[in-house]
Amino acid sequence: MTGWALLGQAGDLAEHGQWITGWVGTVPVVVRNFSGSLRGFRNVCSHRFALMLTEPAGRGPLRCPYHAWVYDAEGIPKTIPFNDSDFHLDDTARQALALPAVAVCLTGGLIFVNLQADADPALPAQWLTNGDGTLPDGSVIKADGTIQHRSTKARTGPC
Amino acid sequence: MLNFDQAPPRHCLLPHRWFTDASAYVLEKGALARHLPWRYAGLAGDDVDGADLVSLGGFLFRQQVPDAPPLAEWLGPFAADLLARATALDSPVAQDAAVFAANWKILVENTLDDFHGPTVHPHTIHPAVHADWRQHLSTKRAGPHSRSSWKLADATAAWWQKLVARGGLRRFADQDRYDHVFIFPDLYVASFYGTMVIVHRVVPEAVDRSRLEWRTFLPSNGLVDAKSASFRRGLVAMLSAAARQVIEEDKPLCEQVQIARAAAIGPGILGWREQRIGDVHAMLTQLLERP
Repeated sequence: MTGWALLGQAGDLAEHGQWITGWVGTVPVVVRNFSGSLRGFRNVCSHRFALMLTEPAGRGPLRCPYHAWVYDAEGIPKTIPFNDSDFHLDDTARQALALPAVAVCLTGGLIFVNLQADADPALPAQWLTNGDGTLPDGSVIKADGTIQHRSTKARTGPC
Repeated sequence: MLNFDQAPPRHCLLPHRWFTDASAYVLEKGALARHLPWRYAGLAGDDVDGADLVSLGGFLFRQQVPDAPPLAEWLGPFAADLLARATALDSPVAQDAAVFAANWKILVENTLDDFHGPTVHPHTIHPAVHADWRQHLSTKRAGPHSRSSWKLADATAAWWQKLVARGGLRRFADQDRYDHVFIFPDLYVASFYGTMVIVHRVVPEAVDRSRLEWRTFLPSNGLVDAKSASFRRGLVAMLSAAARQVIEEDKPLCEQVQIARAAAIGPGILGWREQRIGDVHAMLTQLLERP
């Protein structure tokens, strides 16, 4: 799948530290509220490729359960346990391990994501004004604005 | 061998397709069969046979290529480790298995990762080893094989000392350590306090599915009366449950790596306590590059 995809409700990201996750095809993504700023990334740890946040929504740091790497608003690993002894990663090296960003669009109380970080954010809003509730990504919005079905709920595509 | 004062070597990990692509899995299987000199085949008494089998104290290895070096040479310093642990093989007490929805190499990476105890096993392995485990961890590497050894926590060692006395346990070594010996590509042998030995084998079933089999050995000193026999039975049940618990803790992490790995864009990175993983990737890369 390419293009924008509905990830969830903005209400689930109202406060700092809240996050929601989903799948754009075979790519796991996460959007988190960093002090009021919504940032989206591939939900895959840069260290050894573990899926980081496994629940659909929650609150807390962007932290990998495998070795407890924690990522900041730029997707850079800011906390690396045993870095001084085991990795010796300076700021430049950490930057190189930043999580790939995904584009995030908040419109109509909904959160959309796009794997292309520089994707045009105008498109999801057009979907909402022009459509009948069925979005091009396959998601379905009820008349009251709540989500009936979202395409990003589960992994789709080749195993 | 772990020089924490310097940055660790930056290994190149195998591309993701070797973890997710069914055709790559077939190629890899062929390369391991054609080019790997020796491969673990089971334990003495198992239903395996063939003139190409050689036993090292009961650990059976199959010679796969005509010009293979002698088995002891292939195993390097770890031949002695296996021989020491082989003395426990006369005392099987339990066996178990678990299927992972993950490529076999992810299980191997997981078991060779020497520092996920605090995060993945915070209530099992982690408290069993010495609190200053980083100081006491000793790792030996030779080619694709390796051994890591942790000093047990004082309380754990004291607990084992009592078990040895009450259960009439025999020890292959007088040591208060948890050891992990890995023989490329799929055998690893864990041992505790120089007495209990757990032989693990990672069995690939598909590119994204593997079976981990493990057998537990608890050697006896032969002076077993009814009381100590009863104690041993309870001990075996408890130790088996504990071994299972550790595997159950590893399983979701391995499966999370399997489903996310292909979506990663970066190369990944290995620290000093993951160099054993780098050794495996280096050997696999060599094998896969051969015609």
